[in-house]
Amino acid sequence: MEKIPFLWSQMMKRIYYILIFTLLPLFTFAQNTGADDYFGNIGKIYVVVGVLMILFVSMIGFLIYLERKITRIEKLFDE
Amino acid sequence: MSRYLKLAAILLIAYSILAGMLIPLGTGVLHVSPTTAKGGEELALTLKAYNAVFEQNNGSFEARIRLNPEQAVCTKKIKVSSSNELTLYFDIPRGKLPVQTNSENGKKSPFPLLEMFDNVNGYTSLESVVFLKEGAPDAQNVQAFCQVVPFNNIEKTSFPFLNILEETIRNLFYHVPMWFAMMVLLLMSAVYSILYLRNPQIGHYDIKSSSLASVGVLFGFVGIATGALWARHTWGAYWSFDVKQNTSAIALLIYLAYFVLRSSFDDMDKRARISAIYNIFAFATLIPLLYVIPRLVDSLHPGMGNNPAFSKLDLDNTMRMVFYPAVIGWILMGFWMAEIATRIEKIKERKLEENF
Repeated sequence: MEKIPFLWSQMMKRIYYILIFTLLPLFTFAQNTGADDYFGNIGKIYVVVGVLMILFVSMIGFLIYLERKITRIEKLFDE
Repeated sequence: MSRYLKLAAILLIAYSILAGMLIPLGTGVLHVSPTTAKGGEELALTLKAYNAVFEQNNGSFEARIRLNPEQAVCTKKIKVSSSNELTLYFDIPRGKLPVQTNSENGKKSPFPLLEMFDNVNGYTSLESVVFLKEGAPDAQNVQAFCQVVPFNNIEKTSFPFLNILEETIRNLFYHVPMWFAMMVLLLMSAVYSILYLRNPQIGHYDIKSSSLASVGVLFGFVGIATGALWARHTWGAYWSFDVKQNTSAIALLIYLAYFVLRSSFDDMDKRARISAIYNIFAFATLIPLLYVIPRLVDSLHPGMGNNPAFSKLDLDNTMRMVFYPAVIGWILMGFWMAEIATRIEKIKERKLEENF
């Protein structure tokens, strides 16, 4: 059987998908009917947690943006 | 950017997250019952408090319903039912009560204002606590009021408790600095655009300008997203078509057009020149959109309708100690992020020049 070469870019793609699908529920459960009770708990502290999560996710998003930029430059050097 | 500034960015943001999450809220009244009271009758006001430790034998406990700046109805008895629930008993005087209905600056009057103080929880108040109905005056019609003497406040490191906002007051340290940082980054982006137009031979001004703009727009989108989540649980909807929400969305769309414009040119010099001019105009529209129009109309955001933002109520001293470090930290972080993007873009440019 032919050995499948390990591709870093495929690996990264998988990581993006994992990130997206683990973080999506965070935003979707806000639309559930019971969400108001959940977010309204303990003086609405989970709203602050949600805001911090948005901050964290956007910083990760910026990292991914830089990653892709660098990958493009690496390809330039490989040519 | 020096490494000390980068370290400062990390430390300030870490401090703002830690202090912003760990400092407790002050004691606040969540709700009271009943909501109406009649003159000449005894009022047994049951209240539920947030972040409170009530004890039965706390000798320092005082409470009053203030009717105007000078006069108040003081409590005659206090019954503690649990650590955060208690009942206050008042004798409401007969006859017409001197409740001040409108305040000097045209705002809603806080009276009748419930004020409480004890040595453990500190000072707590609730505006418009009950609706006072007039009782028929008796023969003598003696109204007994107690004089308002200021409570001696205790030093307590806490954020103010505001109804509706509650714990989400902490979002001030994570939502507002985004806009401050966005503003500074986009200002610097416009400055580099002007510098580029003055010396077009220095290519990296254009790269700097575009990476600053991209980080600034990222911060803007984070600001919109965090603001929407915050608004959902305080104003009732993700998007309530508030002036500031609308104008900031317009401003971000203008900046998105900047990136579309940049990507539509193949010729590097042409791209740099035209996007620099567009960037300056985009920044020029940003100022009225975010700082002029929202101040002219009524808005849900604080600091609207001709008021300055950051009044005493919006931001107390404990909050300032966390808020300003957060603003400086995020501005520095934004510059750091833009610097990395600039360096990557510079390497690409150099490589492309070598190839040709």
